[in-house]
Amino acid sequence: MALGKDVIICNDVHKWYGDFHVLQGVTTTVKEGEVVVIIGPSGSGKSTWIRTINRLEEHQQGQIIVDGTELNNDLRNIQEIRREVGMVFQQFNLFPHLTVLQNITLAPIHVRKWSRERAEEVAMEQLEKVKIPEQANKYPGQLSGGQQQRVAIARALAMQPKIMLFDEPTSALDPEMIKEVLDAMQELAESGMTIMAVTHEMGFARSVANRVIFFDRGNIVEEKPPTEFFANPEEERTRLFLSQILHH
Amino acid sequence: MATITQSKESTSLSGPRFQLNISQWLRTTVFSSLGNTIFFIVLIVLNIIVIRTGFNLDPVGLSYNLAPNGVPTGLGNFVLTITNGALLTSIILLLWIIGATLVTYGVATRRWIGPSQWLKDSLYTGPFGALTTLLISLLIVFAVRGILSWAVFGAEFRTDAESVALLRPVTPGAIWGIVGANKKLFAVGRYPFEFLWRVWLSLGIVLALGAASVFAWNFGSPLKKYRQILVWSWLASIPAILFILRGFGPETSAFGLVPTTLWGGLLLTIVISVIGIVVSFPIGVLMALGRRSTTRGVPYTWAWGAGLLLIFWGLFGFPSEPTTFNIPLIFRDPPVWTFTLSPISYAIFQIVVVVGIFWAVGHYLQGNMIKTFSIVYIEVIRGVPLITVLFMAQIMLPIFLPKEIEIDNLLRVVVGVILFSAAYLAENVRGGLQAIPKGQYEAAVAVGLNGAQTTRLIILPQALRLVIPALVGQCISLFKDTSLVAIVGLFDLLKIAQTVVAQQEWLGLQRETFAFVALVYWVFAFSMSRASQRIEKNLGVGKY
Repeated sequence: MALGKDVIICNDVHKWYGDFHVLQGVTTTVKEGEVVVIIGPSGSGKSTWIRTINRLEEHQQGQIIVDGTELNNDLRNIQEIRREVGMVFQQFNLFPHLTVLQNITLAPIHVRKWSRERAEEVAMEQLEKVKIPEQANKYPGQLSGGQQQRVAIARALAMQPKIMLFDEPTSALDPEMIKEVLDAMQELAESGMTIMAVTHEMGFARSVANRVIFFDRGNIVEEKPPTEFFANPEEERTRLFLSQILHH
Repeated sequence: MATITQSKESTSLSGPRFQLNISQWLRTTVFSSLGNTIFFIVLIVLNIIVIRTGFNLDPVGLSYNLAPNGVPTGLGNFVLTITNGALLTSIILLLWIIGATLVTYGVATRRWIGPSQWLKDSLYTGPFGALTTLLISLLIVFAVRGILSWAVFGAEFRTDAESVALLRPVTPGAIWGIVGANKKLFAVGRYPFEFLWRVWLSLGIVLALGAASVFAWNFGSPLKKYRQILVWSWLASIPAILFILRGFGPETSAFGLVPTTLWGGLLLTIVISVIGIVVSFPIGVLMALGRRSTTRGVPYTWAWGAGLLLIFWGLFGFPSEPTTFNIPLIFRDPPVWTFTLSPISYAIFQIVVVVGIFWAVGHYLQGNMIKTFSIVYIEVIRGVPLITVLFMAQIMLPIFLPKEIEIDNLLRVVVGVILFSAAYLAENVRGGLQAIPKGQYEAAVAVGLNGAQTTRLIILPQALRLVIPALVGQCISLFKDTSLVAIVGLFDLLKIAQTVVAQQEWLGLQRETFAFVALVYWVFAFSMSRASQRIEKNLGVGKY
């Protein structure tokens, strides 16, 4: 698939939690339509990094430019970028007091200012895509983990974002539910969406990603297309990590 | 009731045989420890005392209706018979023995029927259980007998003062006439008779809205879409009803002005609590949000202090004369420390104090004035009793306002109640806000909602649901606390009760009056509690 222009540019991004230097000069670009999978040991800062891209975490030094807008303290810029960037969380974070349909239509109605009819129409389309239209009027608490995560994907997609961020979307799921979420993600990738995903699903990385980034100790250690990445990793740390996770 | 040991040599075909081994049973239960033995003896002694008292209890006193001229009627005789102390005691003892026999029989034969199984599990769980059951049933029955004989069988219900005056010396129970004769006072205080229809109208509005709400929330579809309108109608009904009650124009017209000094009784209690709760709610929520605010939008806090000081000097003039201070000191003779500051050092002193305060706020609270204000407000109000707040509203409020403005006494009290209630509400709501996971906030902003939308659509609906029990608890305590307004001269339900008791013809009937007032408070508080449970159920609290 032909990749378009650069939509995410990270340039020497630093972040500290007190004395702890969590992001140590992350520099990379993501092109339109690209699927980037980020792997790495826990505590390496990969989640923090992906969360800086829609400003759930502030970076303290360096530059992040998303879709041509630089993320800074200007609240309007942040709002604008959050409208164009969808995010799916490890813990789903659905709104428990709203039905599935209300969860999905909330942002289109209040942020995009769509009519209720249009928002519901788009919501049902998205629910069809993740294959759970029949759950529209249930509450999140009545769904299984996999279904909840698919609703979360539909909720993010209903805003018609240009970029989707996935922060360990399958880590909180029971094994038999992982596949249904990965299928939804794969379909999304095939539709040409720009995706950044932190995940431990190596199969997904191998088959869907355009690029795999190995992240450790607050920085990118190695980034390559998946076939190359898994076949002959250059760095010692990457090899160690891969040997640890692939031997199970 | 009994420990059964199965005999080992039992070979009978008719099933296992059981033996009642009383000495072993006593050893394992009653005499298993010294404490148990003493407790057992105490229980038996208590039971004996209560049973003896029961046997000796005099027949209940009957009112004039049941025993005219001291001779009981047929109904009176019936009441006397069934409430007779000896008879009641015997019946309880008999029932208790029947229960014990059933349980013992069940244990011995290992055959249980529903009732005996229930008896064993709940009333006759062992020697201590059985004796406690007896003691408590005796106490309950005699308490109920006492209450009934005072409040019903021996009570006089006539309301006309003349017959009551005649009957009072011979009536053994309550004189409920005091309540009936003063029902208007209890309900609305000194509200004028000719305008009472306006109170009825208000009650009608409330009942109509209530009925519509019951339909809209219980029987589903046809009225469901009017729910939102109903909520707004409820809110609009408060000022409307206050307007109807207060009226306007000359006293001769239908809507003549009724000054709030004439409002009283239950009406006043309800008015104060409803306004207090409804108005303090948004203030409390804002305060709770303010206390959690992370805004750092007020930089250079010391500059604010400097600005304030300049304004102060602009208004009152830069200190130009030496100023003398008298600082009172204890344990000193003379007990005053007097010192004089030159204009310059007085100005420096002012600068240091004001800038210092703002610097402290800026340094320790990140210059978050909203948070500072909320914390100071909440902690000050929570550290002060309601009576103090009421006195302050009464005495301090006029000081801050120009002399020409005369504020209604009721309004002052209501403002005090609102200020007080808002602080407690804020803390309750804050509890709910803290229980919402951070992920909810993140998910909301990640889909593009702004801060206000996140709070309104995601955080508050969840937080408020969580604290419904606490909020209703606060409504109930506020409702009961309104009885304190009597201290600042308002005639609420409790104050009316005091005046009613002081009437010449009803002198000395405190028991009846305060029992009635307590019942009224209880009915309202209990209804609120039940309503809260219903709301929780409808909103599905704790479902997810």
